[in-house]
Amino acid sequence: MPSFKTRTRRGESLPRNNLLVLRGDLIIPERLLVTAERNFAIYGFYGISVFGSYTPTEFQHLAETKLVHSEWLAVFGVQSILRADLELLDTGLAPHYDVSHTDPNFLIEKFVQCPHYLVRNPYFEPAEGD
Amino acid sequence: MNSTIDLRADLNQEDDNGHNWCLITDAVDQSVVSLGAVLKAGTETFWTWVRVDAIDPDGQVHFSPIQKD
Repeated sequence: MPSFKTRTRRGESLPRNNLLVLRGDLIIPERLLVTAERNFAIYGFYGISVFGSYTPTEFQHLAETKLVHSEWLAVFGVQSILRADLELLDTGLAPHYDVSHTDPNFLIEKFVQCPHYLVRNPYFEPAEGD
Repeated sequence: MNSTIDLRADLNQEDDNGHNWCLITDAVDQSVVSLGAVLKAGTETFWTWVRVDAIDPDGQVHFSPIQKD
């Protein structure tokens, strides 16, 4: 039986309704499945990494730091994720979360179907060099 | 981007210390993945240069983006 690392949970209360859930890169189901399965391999649960933002300032900070090399940002409302019977786990350091479900195919199918906007990152900087 | 990614990774994924991570099996060539190595990590549409911070016995590779001067 594989042994998994224990994932740190922050123990936050349920997210407020105005939380925006943000993810860098295009929403490509095949890539999301690889991500979810990679998470399972280490932490023992299927998870898609996202970031939470309550304010325009937090959104801007994410877009110009962690996600600066992603031209595209996918933006979800937290309620659309929770209404899809997916969990939002407060994993690692804030504002990181994992969107999770025990069935990886259900997770990907529902995540992709959640209403979201794909917006061009106004702070995008292409990584340089070969 | 003209050359290949060294580490196929999701740059949204963070470990408990806020570092990015992937699996050693995500490397195109595992022999180039060593402590301190500078590699291209990500996807064709979201990638950057990173430095390898740690490689765990279970195959988890931790890395950090290299900041511009």
